[in-house]
Amino acid sequence: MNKLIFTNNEKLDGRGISVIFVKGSYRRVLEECLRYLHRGGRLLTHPNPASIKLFHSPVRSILIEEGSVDESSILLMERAIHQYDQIMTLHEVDNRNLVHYEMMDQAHIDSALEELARWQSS
Amino acid sequence: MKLEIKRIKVNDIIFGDETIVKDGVLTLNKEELITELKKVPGVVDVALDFAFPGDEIRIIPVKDVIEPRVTVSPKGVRGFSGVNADIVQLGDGVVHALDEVAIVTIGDIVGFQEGVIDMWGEGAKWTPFSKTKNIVVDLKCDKSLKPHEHEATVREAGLLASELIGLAGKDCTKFVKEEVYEMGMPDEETKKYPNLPKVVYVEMLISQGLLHDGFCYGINTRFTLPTLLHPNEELDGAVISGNCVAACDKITTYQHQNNSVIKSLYARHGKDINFVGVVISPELTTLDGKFRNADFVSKLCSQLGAQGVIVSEEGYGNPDSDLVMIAERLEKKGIVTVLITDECSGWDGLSQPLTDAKPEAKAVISTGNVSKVVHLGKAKKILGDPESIANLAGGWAGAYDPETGTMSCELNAVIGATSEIGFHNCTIKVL
Repeated sequence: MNKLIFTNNEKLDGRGISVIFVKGSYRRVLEECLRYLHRGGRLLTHPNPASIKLFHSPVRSILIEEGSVDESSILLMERAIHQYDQIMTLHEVDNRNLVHYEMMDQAHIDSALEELARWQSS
Repeated sequence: MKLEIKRIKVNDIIFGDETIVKDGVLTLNKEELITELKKVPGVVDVALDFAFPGDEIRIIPVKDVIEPRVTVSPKGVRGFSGVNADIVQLGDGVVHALDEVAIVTIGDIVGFQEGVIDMWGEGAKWTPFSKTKNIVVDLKCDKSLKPHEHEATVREAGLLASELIGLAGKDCTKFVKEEVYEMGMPDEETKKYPNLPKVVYVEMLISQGLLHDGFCYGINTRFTLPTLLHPNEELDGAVISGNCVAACDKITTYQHQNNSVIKSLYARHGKDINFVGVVISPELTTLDGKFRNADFVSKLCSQLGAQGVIVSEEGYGNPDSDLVMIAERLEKKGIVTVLITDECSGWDGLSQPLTDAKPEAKAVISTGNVSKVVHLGKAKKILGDPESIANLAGGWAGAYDPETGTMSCELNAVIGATSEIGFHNCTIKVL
Protein backbone atom coordinates (compact mmCIF):
# COMPACT_ATOMS: atom_id res chain seq x y z
CA MET A 1 0.00 0.00 0.00
CA ASN A 2 1.19 3.52 -0.79
CA LYS A 3 2.02 5.83 2.05
CA LEU A 4 1.21 9.53 2.16
CA ILE A 5 2.29 12.33 4.43
CA PHE A 6 -0.15 15.17 5.14
CA THR A 7 1.83 18.18 6.30
CA ASN A 8 2.03 21.95 6.51
CA ASN A 9 5.73 21.74 7.31
CA GLU A 10 7.46 23.48 4.40
CA LYS A 11 10.78 21.98 5.44
CA LEU A 12 9.55 18.39 5.54
CA ASP A 13 11.52 15.88 3.52
CA GLY A 14 9.21 12.94 2.81
CA ARG A 15 12.22 10.63 2.33
CA GLY A 16 10.66 9.31 -0.87
CA ILE A 17 7.10 9.14 0.47
CA SER A 18 4.46 11.20 -1.38
CA VAL A 19 3.72 14.44 0.45
CA ILE A 20 0.35 16.22 0.37
CA PHE A 21 1.16 19.77 1.36
CA VAL A 22 -1.63 21.53 3.21
CA LYS A 23 -1.58 25.30 3.08
CA GLY A 24 -2.62 26.51 6.50
CA SER A 25 -2.48 25.64 10.15
CA TYR A 26 -1.77 22.52 12.23
CA ARG A 27 -5.55 22.13 12.61
CA ARG A 28 -6.01 22.40 8.86
CA VAL A 29 -3.64 19.42 8.42
CA LEU A 30 -5.83 17.36 10.74
CA GLU A 31 -8.98 18.46 8.89
CA GLU A 32 -7.59 17.64 5.45
CA CYS A 33 -6.34 14.31 6.65
CA LEU A 34 -9.77 13.52 8.13
CA ARG A 35 -11.41 14.47 4.85
CA TYR A 36 -9.10 12.05 3.05
CA LEU A 37 -9.72 9.26 5.58
CA HIS A 38 -13.46 9.50 4.89
CA ARG A 39 -12.69 8.43 1.32
CA GLY A 40 -10.32 5.67 2.44
CA GLY A 41 -6.99 5.07 4.13
CA ARG A 42 -5.56 4.25 7.51
CA LEU A 43 -3.55 6.31 9.97
CA LEU A 44 -0.01 5.02 10.41
CA THR A 45 1.04 7.60 13.00
CA HIS A 46 -1.03 8.85 15.89
CA PRO A 47 -2.41 12.31 15.10
CA ASN A 48 -1.53 13.68 18.56
CA PRO A 49 2.01 14.41 19.76
CA ALA A 50 3.41 13.03 23.05
CA SER A 51 3.80 16.28 24.97
CA ILE A 52 1.63 19.33 25.53
CA LYS A 53 4.27 21.68 24.16
CA LEU A 54 4.03 20.10 20.72
CA PHE A 55 0.32 20.98 20.54
CA HIS A 56 1.54 24.61 20.36
CA SER A 57 3.52 23.82 17.21
CA PRO A 58 2.60 25.71 14.02
CA VAL A 59 3.36 22.58 11.97
CA ARG A 60 2.23 18.97 12.00
CA SER A 61 2.77 15.96 9.79
CA ILE A 62 0.64 12.80 9.72
CA LEU A 63 1.58 9.58 7.95
CA ILE A 64 -1.20 7.50 6.43
CA GLU A 65 -1.57 4.47 4.18
CA GLU A 66 -3.91 4.39 1.19
CA GLY A 67 -6.68 1.79 1.30
CA SER A 68 -10.28 1.20 2.20
CA VAL A 69 -12.15 3.23 4.79
CA ASP A 70 -10.92 2.52 8.32
CA GLU A 71 -13.47 3.54 10.92
CA SER A 72 -11.01 3.53 13.82
CA SER A 73 -8.70 5.95 12.00
CA ILE A 74 -11.61 8.33 11.39
CA LEU A 75 -12.67 8.20 15.03
CA LEU A 76 -9.10 8.72 16.21
CA MET A 77 -8.68 11.74 13.94
CA GLU A 78 -11.99 13.22 15.10
CA ARG A 79 -10.87 12.86 18.70
CA ALA A 80 -7.50 14.40 17.85
CA ILE A 81 -9.21 17.49 16.41
CA HIS A 82 -11.42 17.77 19.46
CA GLN A 83 -8.39 17.50 21.74
CA TYR A 84 -6.44 20.04 19.72
CA ASP A 85 -9.31 22.51 20.03
CA GLN A 86 -9.60 21.88 23.75
CA ILE A 87 -5.93 22.68 24.34
CA MET A 88 -5.56 25.53 21.87
CA THR A 89 -8.64 27.37 23.14
CA LEU A 90 -6.38 28.35 26.02
CA HIS A 91 -3.15 28.85 24.10
CA GLU A 92 -1.59 30.65 21.20
CA VAL A 93 0.33 28.95 18.43
CA ASP A 94 4.05 29.36 19.19
CA ASN A 95 5.27 30.90 15.94
CA ARG A 96 8.46 32.26 17.52
CA ASN A 97 10.08 28.84 17.49
CA LEU A 98 8.87 27.71 14.06
CA VAL A 99 12.29 26.51 12.94
CA HIS A 100 12.64 24.15 15.89
CA TYR A 101 9.09 22.85 15.56
CA GLU A 102 9.74 22.11 11.88
CA MET A 103 12.85 20.20 12.84
CA MET A 104 11.07 18.27 15.62
CA ASP A 105 8.24 17.38 13.24
CA GLN A 106 10.74 16.02 10.73
CA ALA A 107 12.50 14.01 13.44
CA HIS A 108 9.28 12.39 14.58
CA ILE A 109 8.22 11.50 11.03
CA ASP A 110 11.71 10.07 10.47
CA SER A 111 11.29 8.04 13.65
CA ALA A 112 8.03 6.56 12.33
CA LEU A 113 9.49 5.87 8.88
CA GLU A 114 12.51 4.15 10.40
CA GLU A 115 10.24 1.98 12.50
CA LEU A 116 8.08 1.00 9.54
CA ALA A 117 11.14 0.33 7.39
CA ARG A 118 12.48 -2.10 10.00
CA TRP A 119 9.30 -4.16 9.77
CA GLN A 120 9.29 -4.17 6.01
CA SER A 121 12.90 -5.30 5.76
CA SER A 122 12.40 -8.16 8.21
CA MET B 1 18.78 -9.72 43.88
CA LYS B 2 19.85 -7.57 46.78
CA LEU B 3 20.53 -3.86 46.43
CA GLU B 4 21.52 -1.71 49.38
CA ILE B 5 21.27 2.05 48.99
CA LYS B 6 23.08 3.76 51.86
CA ARG B 7 22.20 7.43 52.15
CA ILE B 8 24.69 10.06 53.24
CA LYS B 9 23.43 13.17 55.00
CA VAL B 10 24.50 16.40 53.31
CA ASN B 11 23.74 19.61 55.21
CA ASP B 12 25.71 21.97 53.01
CA ILE B 13 27.55 22.10 49.69
CA ILE B 14 30.61 24.31 49.13
CA PHE B 15 33.45 24.64 46.65
CA GLY B 16 36.93 23.66 47.84
CA ASP B 17 40.14 21.85 46.99
CA GLU B 18 38.78 18.34 46.73
CA THR B 19 35.50 16.57 46.06
CA ILE B 20 34.56 14.87 49.32
CA VAL B 21 31.84 14.56 51.97
CA LYS B 22 32.94 15.22 55.51
CA ASP B 23 30.89 16.01 58.60
CA GLY B 24 27.78 16.59 56.54
CA VAL B 25 29.46 19.02 54.16
CA LEU B 26 29.86 18.14 50.49
CA THR B 27 32.89 19.93 49.08
CA LEU B 28 33.32 20.13 45.33
CA ASN B 29 36.54 20.87 43.49
CA LYS B 30 34.99 23.17 40.91
CA GLU B 31 37.95 23.44 38.54
CA GLU B 32 38.53 19.71 38.50
CA LEU B 33 34.86 18.96 37.79
CA ILE B 34 34.67 21.54 35.02
CA THR B 35 37.86 20.17 33.44
CA GLU B 36 36.42 16.64 33.43
CA LEU B 37 33.03 17.73 32.07
CA LYS B 38 34.68 19.72 29.28
CA LYS B 39 36.28 16.47 28.11
CA VAL B 40 32.84 15.28 26.99
CA PRO B 41 32.90 15.76 23.19
CA GLY B 42 30.76 18.72 22.22
CA VAL B 43 30.89 20.50 25.59
CA VAL B 44 32.59 23.88 25.25
CA ASP B 45 31.82 25.50 28.58
CA VAL B 46 30.47 24.51 31.98
CA ALA B 47 29.22 26.60 34.87
CA LEU B 48 28.48 25.10 38.28
CA ASP B 49 26.19 26.68 40.81
CA PHE B 50 24.07 25.74 43.81
CA ALA B 51 20.38 26.21 44.54
CA PHE B 52 19.11 25.32 47.99
CA PRO B 53 15.54 25.06 49.29
CA GLY B 54 14.20 28.53 50.06
CA ASP B 55 16.66 30.40 47.81
CA GLU B 56 14.89 32.87 45.50
CA ILE B 57 16.35 31.09 42.50
CA ARG B 58 14.68 29.93 39.31
CA ILE B 59 16.36 27.17 37.27
CA ILE B 60 15.41 27.04 33.57
CA PRO B 61 15.34 25.23 31.19
CA VAL B 62 15.97 22.00 33.06
CA LYS B 63 17.24 19.10 30.98
CA ASP B 64 17.45 16.33 33.58
CA VAL B 65 17.75 15.74 37.31
CA ILE B 66 20.03 12.96 38.54
CA GLU B 67 20.88 11.59 41.99
CA PRO B 68 24.64 11.48 42.62
CA ARG B 69 25.69 7.98 43.65
CA VAL B 70 28.64 5.65 43.71
CA THR B 71 28.61 1.86 43.58
CA VAL B 72 30.93 0.50 46.27
CA SER B 73 30.12 -3.16 45.67
CA PRO B 74 30.76 -4.82 43.33
CA LYS B 75 34.04 -2.95 43.15
CA GLY B 76 35.14 -1.20 40.00
CA VAL B 77 31.63 -0.39 38.77
CA ARG B 78 31.31 3.25 37.68
CA GLY B 79 28.73 5.33 35.91
CA PHE B 80 25.57 4.12 34.22
CA SER B 81 25.76 0.65 32.73
CA GLY B 82 25.61 0.73 28.95
CA VAL B 83 25.50 4.52 28.85
CA ASN B 84 28.84 5.88 30.02
CA ALA B 85 30.26 2.72 31.55
CA ASP B 86 30.88 -0.91 30.74
CA ILE B 87 27.87 -3.18 30.66
CA VAL B 88 27.26 -4.78 34.03
CA GLN B 89 24.23 -6.54 35.44
CA LEU B 90 22.56 -4.00 37.71
CA GLY B 91 20.42 -4.72 40.75
CA ASP B 92 22.88 -6.42 43.12
CA GLY B 93 25.34 -4.59 45.31
CA VAL B 94 25.89 -1.63 47.60
CA VAL B 95 25.41 1.97 46.51
CA HIS B 96 26.20 5.16 48.42
CA ALA B 97 23.86 8.05 47.55
CA LEU B 98 24.14 11.71 48.53
CA ASP B 99 20.79 12.08 50.25
CA GLU B 100 18.51 14.88 49.02
CA VAL B 101 21.21 16.15 46.66
CA ALA B 102 20.45 16.44 42.95
CA ILE B 103 22.43 17.22 39.84
CA VAL B 104 20.28 19.49 37.69
CA THR B 105 21.48 19.90 34.12
CA ILE B 106 20.36 22.95 32.20
CA GLY B 107 20.85 24.06 28.63
CA ASP B 108 18.54 25.13 25.84
CA ILE B 109 18.51 22.59 23.05
CA VAL B 110 15.43 23.88 21.21
CA GLY B 111 13.77 27.26 21.47
CA PHE B 112 10.48 26.13 22.95
CA GLN B 113 12.03 24.03 25.68
CA GLU B 114 10.64 24.70 29.12
CA GLY B 115 11.01 23.09 32.50
CA VAL B 116 11.35 25.27 35.53
CA ILE B 117 12.37 24.62 39.11
CA ASP B 118 11.61 27.45 41.54
CA MET B 119 13.35 26.98 44.87
CA TRP B 120 11.01 29.29 46.79
CA GLY B 121 7.46 30.59 46.92
CA GLU B 122 4.49 29.33 44.94
CA GLY B 123 6.63 27.59 42.31
CA ALA B 124 8.44 25.55 44.96
CA LYS B 125 5.17 24.04 46.11
CA TRP B 126 4.73 22.27 42.80
CA THR B 127 8.11 20.72 42.03
CA PRO B 128 9.66 17.94 44.11
CA PHE B 129 13.09 19.33 43.22
CA SER B 130 12.63 22.46 45.32
CA LYS B 131 13.31 20.22 48.32
CA THR B 132 16.65 18.90 47.11
CA LYS B 133 19.99 20.65 47.39
CA ASN B 134 20.68 21.20 43.74
CA ILE B 135 24.04 21.30 42.01
CA VAL B 136 23.19 23.08 38.79
CA VAL B 137 25.33 22.16 35.81
CA ASP B 138 24.94 24.67 32.98
CA LEU B 139 26.33 23.16 29.81
CA LYS B 140 27.22 25.20 26.75
CA CYS B 141 27.76 23.05 23.71
CA ASP B 142 29.38 23.43 20.32
CA LYS B 143 26.93 25.44 18.21
CA SER B 144 27.52 23.15 15.23
CA LEU B 145 25.90 20.23 17.06
CA LYS B 146 22.58 19.09 15.71
CA PRO B 147 19.79 18.98 18.30
CA HIS B 148 19.93 15.21 18.80
CA GLU B 149 23.72 15.42 19.25
CA HIS B 150 23.24 18.35 21.62
CA GLU B 151 20.74 16.36 23.70
CA ALA B 152 23.08 13.35 23.84
CA THR B 153 25.99 15.57 24.87
CA VAL B 154 24.04 17.22 27.71
CA ARG B 155 22.69 13.84 28.81
CA GLU B 156 26.16 12.30 28.87
CA ALA B 157 27.70 15.26 30.71
CA GLY B 158 24.93 15.21 33.32
CA LEU B 159 25.41 11.53 34.01
CA LEU B 160 29.17 12.08 34.26
CA ALA B 161 28.64 14.95 36.72
CA SER B 162 26.48 12.73 38.90
CA GLU B 163 29.12 10.00 38.77
CA LEU B 164 32.03 12.34 39.65
CA ILE B 165 30.13 14.04 42.46
CA GLY B 166 28.75 10.69 43.67
CA LEU B 167 32.34 9.49 44.12
CA ALA B 168 32.62 11.97 47.01
CA GLY B 169 30.63 9.54 49.13
CA LYS B 170 32.70 6.47 48.31
CA ASP B 171 34.49 6.14 51.64
CA CYS B 172 31.67 7.31 53.91
CA THR B 173 30.80 5.02 56.80
CA LYS B 174 27.98 6.98 58.44
CA PHE B 175 24.57 6.95 56.85
CA VAL B 176 21.31 8.72 57.56
CA LYS B 177 19.29 5.89 56.04
CA GLU B 178 19.99 2.42 54.71
CA GLU B 179 17.50 1.03 52.21
CA VAL B 180 17.59 -2.67 51.40
CA TYR B 181 15.79 -3.99 48.33
CA GLU B 182 15.90 -7.76 48.26
CA MET B 183 13.72 -9.93 46.11
CA GLY B 184 14.24 -13.24 44.36
CA MET B 185 13.06 -14.20 40.92
CA PRO B 186 9.28 -14.62 40.43
CA ASP B 187 9.28 -18.40 40.97
CA GLU B 188 11.21 -18.06 44.24
CA GLU B 189 8.95 -15.32 45.54
CA THR B 190 5.85 -17.27 44.53
CA LYS B 191 7.07 -20.26 46.54
CA LYS B 192 7.47 -17.94 49.54
CA TYR B 193 4.12 -16.23 49.08
CA PRO B 194 1.87 -18.72 47.27
CA ASN B 195 -1.34 -17.11 48.43
CA LEU B 196 -0.55 -13.49 47.63
CA PRO B 197 -1.78 -11.93 44.38
CA LYS B 198 0.95 -11.42 41.80
CA VAL B 199 1.36 -7.79 40.78
CA VAL B 200 3.36 -6.41 37.83
CA TYR B 201 4.33 -2.78 37.34
CA VAL B 202 4.25 -1.53 33.73
CA GLU B 203 6.23 1.67 33.27
CA MET B 204 5.57 3.42 29.96
CA LEU B 205 8.35 5.56 28.47
CA ILE B 206 8.10 8.18 25.74
CA SER B 207 10.07 6.69 22.83
CA GLN B 208 9.41 8.86 19.80
CA GLY B 209 12.63 10.47 18.62
CA LEU B 210 14.31 13.82 19.11
CA LEU B 211 14.02 15.01 22.75
CA HIS B 212 11.29 12.45 23.36
CA ASP B 213 13.29 9.31 24.22
CA GLY B 214 14.05 6.97 27.09
CA PHE B 215 16.96 4.61 27.58
CA CYS B 216 17.31 1.21 29.23
CA TYR B 217 20.90 -0.01 29.76
CA GLY B 218 21.85 2.64 27.21
CA ILE B 219 19.51 1.32 24.52
CA ASN B 220 17.01 3.80 23.15
CA THR B 221 13.65 2.20 24.03
CA ARG B 222 12.37 3.24 20.60
CA PHE B 223 14.25 0.20 19.32
CA THR B 224 13.07 -2.33 21.89
CA LEU B 225 10.02 -4.46 22.54
CA PRO B 226 8.51 -4.12 26.01
CA THR B 227 11.16 -5.48 28.37
CA LEU B 228 11.04 -7.23 31.73
CA LEU B 229 13.24 -5.83 34.50
CA HIS B 230 13.81 -6.86 38.09
CA PRO B 231 12.70 -3.84 40.16
CA ASN B 232 16.25 -3.47 41.53
CA GLU B 233 17.66 -2.82 38.08
CA GLU B 234 15.74 0.42 37.74
CA LEU B 235 16.57 1.50 41.30
CA ASP B 236 20.23 0.82 40.39
CA GLY B 237 20.24 3.16 37.36
CA ALA B 238 19.19 0.97 34.42
CA VAL B 239 16.66 3.52 33.13
CA ILE B 240 17.72 6.98 31.97
CA SER B 241 15.71 9.97 30.77
CA GLY B 242 16.31 11.39 27.31
CA ASN B 243 13.14 13.44 27.34
CA CYS B 244 13.37 17.18 27.70
CA VAL B 245 10.05 18.61 26.57
CA ALA B 246 7.20 17.32 28.75
CA ALA B 247 8.37 19.14 31.88
CA CYS B 248 5.53 18.32 34.27
CA ASP B 249 5.16 14.65 33.46
CA LYS B 250 8.48 13.48 32.08
CA ILE B 251 10.27 11.03 34.35
CA THR B 252 13.70 12.41 35.18
CA THR B 253 16.60 10.06 35.81
CA TYR B 254 16.38 10.92 39.54
CA GLN B 255 12.77 9.77 39.54
CA HIS B 256 13.72 6.51 37.82
CA GLN B 257 16.47 5.94 40.39
CA ASN B 258 13.88 6.47 43.13
CA ASN B 259 10.75 5.26 41.33
CA SER B 260 7.87 5.79 43.74
CA VAL B 261 5.72 3.01 42.29
CA ILE B 262 8.53 0.47 42.63
CA LYS B 263 9.24 1.58 46.20
CA SER B 264 5.54 1.45 47.12
CA LEU B 265 5.10 -2.02 45.66
CA TYR B 266 8.28 -3.18 47.41
CA ALA B 267 6.87 -1.98 50.74
CA ARG B 268 3.85 -4.24 50.25
CA HIS B 269 5.73 -7.21 48.80
CA GLY B 270 5.28 -10.29 50.99
CA LYS B 271 2.56 -8.55 52.99
CA ASP B 272 -0.47 -8.26 50.75
CA ILE B 273 1.03 -8.64 47.27
CA ASN B 274 3.71 -10.61 45.44
CA PHE B 275 5.54 -8.01 43.30
CA VAL B 276 6.82 -10.06 40.38
CA GLY B 277 8.50 -7.53 38.11
CA VAL B 278 8.67 -4.34 36.08
CA VAL B 279 7.83 -4.14 32.38
CA ILE B 280 9.23 -1.16 30.48
CA SER B 281 6.83 -0.30 27.65
CA PRO B 282 7.93 2.10 24.89
CA GLU B 283 5.37 4.68 23.69
CA LEU B 284 5.92 4.81 19.93
CA THR B 285 4.65 7.22 17.27
CA THR B 286 3.14 4.59 15.00
CA LEU B 287 -0.24 3.03 15.65
CA ASP B 288 0.94 -0.45 14.71
CA GLY B 289 3.81 0.01 17.16
CA LYS B 290 1.31 0.90 19.85
CA PHE B 291 -0.83 -2.18 19.06
CA ARG B 292 2.20 -4.45 19.06
CA ASN B 293 3.53 -3.11 22.35
CA ALA B 294 0.14 -3.25 24.08
CA ASP B 295 -0.18 -6.89 22.97
CA PHE B 296 3.35 -7.61 24.14
CA VAL B 297 2.87 -5.98 27.55
CA SER B 298 -0.32 -7.96 28.05
CA LYS B 299 1.45 -11.17 27.08
CA LEU B 300 4.41 -10.53 29.41
CA CYS B 301 2.06 -9.84 32.32
CA SER B 302 0.17 -13.08 31.58
CA GLN B 303 3.41 -15.04 31.37
CA LEU B 304 4.29 -13.74 34.82
CA GLY B 305 0.91 -14.90 36.11
CA ALA B 306 -0.11 -11.35 37.04
CA GLN B 307 -3.44 -10.94 38.80
CA GLY B 308 -2.98 -7.21 39.12
CA VAL B 309 -1.06 -4.65 37.07
CA ILE B 310 -0.19 -1.03 37.81
CA VAL B 311 0.51 1.01 34.65
CA SER B 312 2.15 4.44 34.74
CA GLU B 313 2.26 6.76 31.73
CA GLU B 314 4.89 9.27 30.61
CA GLY B 315 3.73 12.39 28.78
CA TYR B 316 0.32 13.31 27.40
CA GLY B 317 -1.40 13.05 24.03
CA ASN B 318 -0.72 9.98 21.93
CA PRO B 319 0.62 7.99 24.97
CA ASP B 320 -2.93 8.13 26.36
CA SER B 321 -3.84 5.66 23.60
CA ASP B 322 -1.09 3.24 24.69
CA LEU B 323 -2.31 3.55 28.27
CA VAL B 324 -5.93 2.67 27.60
CA MET B 325 -5.04 -0.05 25.07
CA ILE B 326 -2.88 -1.78 27.66
CA ALA B 327 -5.76 -1.58 30.15
CA GLU B 328 -8.16 -2.99 27.57
CA ARG B 329 -5.98 -6.00 26.81
CA LEU B 330 -5.20 -6.79 30.45
CA GLU B 331 -8.76 -6.40 31.73
CA LYS B 332 -10.06 -8.62 28.92
CA LYS B 333 -7.73 -11.31 30.26
CA GLY B 334 -9.22 -10.86 33.71
CA ILE B 335 -6.18 -9.03 35.09
CA VAL B 336 -7.16 -6.17 37.37
CA THR B 337 -5.50 -3.03 36.00
CA VAL B 338 -4.91 0.34 37.65
CA LEU B 339 -3.64 3.27 35.59
CA ILE B 340 -1.62 6.24 36.83
CA THR B 341 -1.76 9.33 34.64
CA ASP B 342 -2.17 13.08 34.81
CA GLU B 343 -5.01 15.06 33.25
CA CYS B 344 -5.15 17.90 30.76
CA SER B 345 -8.58 19.07 31.75
CA GLY B 346 -8.47 22.82 31.21
CA TRP B 347 -8.05 25.74 33.60
CA ASP B 348 -11.28 24.87 35.36
CA GLY B 349 -10.48 21.14 35.48
CA LEU B 350 -13.77 20.26 33.81
CA SER B 351 -12.70 19.27 30.30
CA GLN B 352 -12.00 15.78 28.94
CA PRO B 353 -8.83 14.71 30.82
CA LEU B 354 -7.25 12.23 28.37
CA THR B 355 -7.12 12.07 24.58
CA ASP B 356 -8.37 8.49 24.47
CA ALA B 357 -10.67 6.21 26.43
CA LYS B 358 -11.70 2.57 26.72
CA PRO B 359 -14.38 1.04 28.94
CA GLU B 360 -11.71 -1.19 30.50
CA ALA B 361 -9.68 1.84 31.65
CA LYS B 362 -11.87 2.25 34.69
CA ALA B 363 -9.48 2.32 37.64
CA VAL B 364 -7.42 5.45 37.20
CA ILE B 365 -5.29 7.43 39.63
CA SER B 366 -4.86 11.06 38.61
CA THR B 367 -1.62 12.78 39.57
CA GLY B 368 -2.98 16.25 38.82
CA ASN B 369 -4.22 18.62 36.16
CA VAL B 370 -1.39 19.84 33.94
CA SER B 371 -3.52 22.82 32.88
CA LYS B 372 -3.79 24.27 36.37
CA VAL B 373 -2.55 27.85 36.33
CA VAL B 374 0.01 28.89 38.94
CA HIS B 375 1.46 32.30 39.62
CA LEU B 376 5.22 32.57 39.98
CA GLY B 377 7.02 35.40 41.73
CA LYS B 378 10.05 37.30 40.49
CA ALA B 379 13.29 35.43 41.04
CA LYS B 380 16.32 37.19 42.54
CA LYS B 381 18.56 34.96 40.48
CA ILE B 382 18.02 32.89 37.35
CA LEU B 383 20.24 29.93 36.63
CA GLY B 384 20.07 29.12 32.95
CA ASP B 385 18.58 31.06 30.13
CA PRO B 386 16.39 34.08 31.01
CA GLU B 387 15.08 33.99 27.42
CA SER B 388 13.38 30.69 28.24
CA ILE B 389 11.09 32.59 30.58
CA ALA B 390 9.35 33.88 27.47
CA ASN B 391 8.44 30.31 26.55
CA LEU B 392 7.32 29.59 30.06
CA ALA B 393 5.00 32.56 30.18
CA GLY B 394 4.20 32.72 26.51
CA GLY B 395 1.12 30.58 26.48
CA TRP B 396 -1.33 33.44 26.42
CA ALA B 397 -1.50 37.23 26.36
CA GLY B 398 -0.86 38.93 29.67
CA ALA B 399 0.74 35.93 31.33
CA TYR B 400 3.90 37.89 32.07
CA ASP B 401 3.99 41.24 33.87
CA PRO B 402 7.33 42.90 33.01
CA GLU B 403 6.81 45.58 35.69
CA THR B 404 6.67 43.17 38.60
CA GLY B 405 8.48 40.25 36.97
CA THR B 406 5.67 37.94 38.03
CA MET B 407 4.08 35.50 35.64
CA SER B 408 1.37 32.94 35.25
CA CYS B 409 1.96 29.56 33.74
CA GLU B 410 0.36 26.16 33.66
CA LEU B 411 1.80 23.27 35.64
CA ASN B 412 2.88 21.95 32.24
CA ALA B 413 6.03 23.99 32.58
CA VAL B 414 7.04 22.93 36.08
CA ILE B 415 9.42 19.99 36.42
CA GLY B 416 7.77 16.95 37.94
CA ALA B 417 4.62 18.85 38.93
CA THR B 418 2.25 16.08 37.85
CA SER B 419 4.66 13.13 37.88
CA GLU B 420 2.83 10.10 36.57
CA ILE B 421 4.88 7.80 38.79
CA GLY B 422 3.73 9.76 41.82
CA PHE B 423 7.12 11.30 42.59
CA HIS B 424 5.71 14.75 43.25
CA ASN B 425 3.99 17.02 45.73
CA CYS B 426 0.33 16.78 44.69
CA THR B 427 -1.96 14.75 46.84
CA ILE B 428 -5.67 14.41 47.45
CA LYS B 429 -7.94 15.82 50.07
CA VAL B 430 -10.78 13.63 51.29
CA LEU B 431 -13.85 15.80 51.60
